[in-house]
Formats: sequence, C-alpha cells, structure tokens
Amino acid sequence: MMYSPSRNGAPPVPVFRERNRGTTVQNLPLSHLSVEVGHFYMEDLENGEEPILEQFRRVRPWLEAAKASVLSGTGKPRVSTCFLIDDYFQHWSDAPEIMMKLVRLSQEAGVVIDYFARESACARRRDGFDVADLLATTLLEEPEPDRDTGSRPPSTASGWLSNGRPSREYTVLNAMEAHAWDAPLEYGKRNHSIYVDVELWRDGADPGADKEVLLKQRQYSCPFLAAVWQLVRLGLLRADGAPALEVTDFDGEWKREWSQLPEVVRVNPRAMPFYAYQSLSIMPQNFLPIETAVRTIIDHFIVQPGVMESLDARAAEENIELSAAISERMSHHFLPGRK
Amino acid sequence: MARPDPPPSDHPPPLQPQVVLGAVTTGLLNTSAPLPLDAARQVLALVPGVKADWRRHPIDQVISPDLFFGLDCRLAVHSGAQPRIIGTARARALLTAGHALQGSARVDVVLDASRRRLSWSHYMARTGVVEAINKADPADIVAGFLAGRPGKSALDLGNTSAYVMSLLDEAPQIDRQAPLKAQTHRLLWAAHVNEDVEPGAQIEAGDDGVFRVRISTPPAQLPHFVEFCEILALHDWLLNALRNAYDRSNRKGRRGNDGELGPALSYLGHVWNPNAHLPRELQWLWDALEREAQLSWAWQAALTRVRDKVSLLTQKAIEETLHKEVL
Repeated sequence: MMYSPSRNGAPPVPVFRERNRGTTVQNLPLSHLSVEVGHFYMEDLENGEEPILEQFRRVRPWLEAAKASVLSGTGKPRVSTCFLIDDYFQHWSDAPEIMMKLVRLSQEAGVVIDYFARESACARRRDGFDVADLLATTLLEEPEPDRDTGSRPPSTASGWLSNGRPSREYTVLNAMEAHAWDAPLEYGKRNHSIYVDVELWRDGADPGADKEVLLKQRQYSCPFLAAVWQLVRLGLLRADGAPALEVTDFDGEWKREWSQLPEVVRVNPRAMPFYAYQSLSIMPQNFLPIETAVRTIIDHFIVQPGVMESLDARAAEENIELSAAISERMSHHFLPGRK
Repeated sequence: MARPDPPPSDHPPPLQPQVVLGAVTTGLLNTSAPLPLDAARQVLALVPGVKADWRRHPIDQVISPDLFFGLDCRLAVHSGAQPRIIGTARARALLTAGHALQGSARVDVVLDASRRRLSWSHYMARTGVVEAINKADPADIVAGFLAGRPGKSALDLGNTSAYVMSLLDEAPQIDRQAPLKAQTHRLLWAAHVNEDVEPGAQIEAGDDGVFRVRISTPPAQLPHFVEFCEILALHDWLLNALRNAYDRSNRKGRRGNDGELGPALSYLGHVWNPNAHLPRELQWLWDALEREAQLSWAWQAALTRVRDKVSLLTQKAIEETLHKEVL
C-alpha cells in the first residue's frame, strides 16, 4: 500500500521496514520416511560376506513393510533408504573394497541402498566444521524437581547426560544408622524410575585448553554420533539454516581414504530425498541400549528457531500430522540374533 | 524489539498460556569503545549454527537467538499454595548502539496442564513454556511475580536475564575496559493473556528503582508488549546512567570523576530514541507514559546539565591555561 497523508487523523501505513534475519531456514526436499537398512561395526564389514548378506536378507521384509505402511497423507509415498558406515572408531580399512562389497551384497539381498553416510562426518565434516558440537551445545539438562529457578546455566560440560538423579551413598555422622542410601530417580517417571546416564564424549585435552584444541581431542561416544545421524536424517540439525550434512551425488569412484569420502553420498540416482519427516532404523537387537541412549540425548535437544516450523508447515500441506516431540518421529525395528 | 515474523504454522498450539512473565536487565557492555555492528553480530550469535538478527536504522541493534533454561520451581503468589511450574524459560540478549546491553527473559505459563511432571521430551516439544501443576489464579501469579521478592525456590527470571548478559564477558571482542561506571537496571513485566481483553498496561516505578509493567492483552499483541518493555528498560537505564555520572562528578573531594562526563556524553548522549523500534501498535502507550512520567523531558534536562557542566569546566580550564601564560 502506498503512503498517503491521512485526512481523518488515522495512523498512516508504514513506509519503512528493516528486518534482517541472521539465519534463514532452508526448506529441504523431504521424504515421508527415511529407513536405515542395517548396521555393522567395521570389524564385521571387514570379515566374511555371509553375515552381511544374512543381515540384509533379514532387513528386507521389514523394509517392504515400512514402505507399505508409510504415512504419506495426500501425497504419493516417498521412502528413501540409507546406511551409516562405522568409520569413526576404526578407519584403517580399504574404503573402496568395503563400499563395493556393501553395494553388491545389499543388492544381492534385494535391499536398495539410496544413500551412504560416514559416522565420522557426524563428528566433523571434511571442511573442518564441527557437526557434533552443534548438538553438544544445544543439549539442555533436565531441571531438578522443585530446585531450578532459572538461575542455573544450561550446560552439559561434564560429557554426561542423564534423565534424573543417580543413587547416592553417604555416611551419616552421629546417627543411629551410619550408612545411608538414596535411590536413583528418573525425573519424569510414571510410577517407577528408569534412570539413564549417557556418556556423550571423553575429552583428551587438558582442562582449560581452548575450544579448538578441546574439540580436536574429544572422542564422541557411539550414541552421541548416532543422535547426530538421526537429527540429520530428520532435517533438524542445521548450520546457518542449511542441513549440517549435505548430500553429494556419487561420482563413480570410491576414494581410498574414508576421510575423502563425501559426508552423505547418493548412490541411487532415482532415490527419494534423503531427509524425511520420520525415520525408521532396522538393526540387530544388540544396538538397543545404544538406541535408548540416542533417544535420551534427542529428548534433551533444542531445535533451532524456525526449523520445526518449516518441517511442520510442509507436512501440513500434505495433510500429515507430525508429533511435536522429536523422539516420537523416530522408530526402530530390532532384528533377533547376534548380528 | 521487532524480530522477523516466525514462519506461519498451521498447527495451533494445544494450550495457550494465560500468564506470561518477563524480566529485562540493562547494563553497559564492558568495552572501551562501542562494538561495531559486524563484531556485535559475531558476539551475539549465542546459539551455535544460528546467526543473530540485526538492524541498522535508525540505530544499530543486534538481537541474539533465544537460549533456553530448564525450570522446575515455584511461583510466588500472595494467597494459598505456591504453584509448581515445570518447563523452560527463554532469554535473549540485545545490544543497542554497540554498548547498551540487555538480557530479556520470559516464560509462558500454562495453567492446569497436568497433574505430575511428565517426561522431558514433552517440555522440549514446547520450549519457552512452563506448565503449572497445581491450581492458581492468573491475577495472583501476576501480582506475586511483580512483587519481585522470589524466595529460594521461586522463579527468578531476573537471574536468567543477567546470566544471558554475562555470556558476552567471555567474547574475545570484549576488552573489559569500559570508561564509565553504570549500574545495571531491572524491569519486571507480567501479562495476563486473554483473547477477549482490550490491550492495556500499567507502569509503576518502585522505591527499589525497578520498573514494573502490568499488562493485559490478547495473545497476538503480546510480542509488541515485550518489545515495549525492552525499550522502556533501555531508556530507564540510559536516564539513570547519565544522572548517576553527573551526580558522581558533583561529589566533593572526589577529584577525577569529572573524567566520567566525557565518556557519559559520547557513550549515552546520542542513544535516546524511544520511538526508534517502538511497535506502532503501542505508540499510544508510550505517548500516555510520556504525558505522565515525562521521561524524554527528564532526559533532555539531564543531558543539558551534563553539557553545561562540561562547557563550564572547559571554559575554566582555558582560563587557567591563559592565567599561567600571563604569569
């Protein structure tokens, strides 16, 4: 509307505006569901082929079930598959050999993997950007019941994160009972507590070292990196509005060193988008404790402003209702057996 | 201060807060020179991966993204049991003109939400909101909060707002050599939010130097009131800082305090501009406040006194120099 001098004393319409958003949240291409089709430790990938093939074969019917049951609202279902390579804790293996083996065996089992991602990229990108620190600095510890008045700084400096208070043993002086014990407490318990305490990382640097040195010498735990991985898949972890890990198309050649491989690489040109409203991870049951830890971590994650709104608005356009809680957007299927 | 509008969401929040409580602490950034806009934008990027919002007209202002604080405590009320609240408070830092620093904290209170503390993911899905467990009367919560004497286990947003300011102390761009003493000032506000009320406010200056703003508003207007309170807090602080610098320069036997008048002028003299970022919707409130409290008149008066004194001191200094030369 143009400004025109008012005749009747009504306030004029504004003619000047200045609003500089520091960060603009990107709208990502989104699938309805991102399915993680199995998981191996690096030592399993190096050894015989039969257990790998066997796991993919067991994944397949559950992948088909997921595709058949995906919530897609008014749109055609969009499901993408992905696989996370454990190159953080061991990375001396021959990358091209393992990658080609994985592609071949998964195809043999009838599981099409659309995207491969590296676990070490969940810690740090090839360009040196600290992805894990994005999560580490946005975790909010749970307030103590009837104690936290807003004066306590939000921090997880210890490298541990819990859902309550640990048990306590102490000695009482001058009392009938010299020894006392307090039970652990889950702050959000329903009736009984399940107290969980998760190691997020271990610091190698001396106390007081500057942040760069500290981060370089920090070893993140497996659940912590898996939490980064889940948040990336759900489009919730961002660096200045862009996804913390971006997708690169496969250029036809696997580099020798793991560290030279893209963070997330699309190997299937016809794949649906990597990022998704909801995620499903299909993996052997021995990863259950790790995934419990992952959910604990994600339950303490603060989403950057505008990110949730961007996803929710897109979902609403497709008539999909998303849970407000992030961990309710994630699901798991655990396969029986050892591997 | 006006932040860009959040992207529209088709999901209506399940429960609207009936009460919103806030505190604004204002002080001087501890630097020898005002922070240039670019440096300020770096320093106020308090959340990794998110840049600070900013504006240049008519005066530089940088606004940090929101930080969140876990809360499980009581609300101070006058009658009956203190309601227990669980959830998170939000707080942000604002830097105006490169050195007027504010911490602004607020919490949205949803009453009668649940009977017990739920799992933490529930509260993380609605950050900035606390849910009260026991029954409580909104008017009583507003009055109790504004009384501003939180006990040991009661909500203390003043501390939260001060904590956000303290985060800037660690920044390498801050040299911690401010040439001026300026006490921090606090403003408390509390809003009774109701779809059916006409927007209105009452402002009270307490004997403790704290401004208290009691607001009733429909939810859509609440962000304007938050900005209004931040603007009022800034200008109340400016006025006090200038008056205090003048008073200190007048104390006998304290040579050297005249040296503060120069920095007071160059730091504070140009910052007064309450209309700069005032939401148009609340122009009427500022105008009403000016009619009664005459803050702009008080500012002009204080500024004139300081300038006159600096002129007189300069004149005296010139005369002394001339006198020495004659001798």
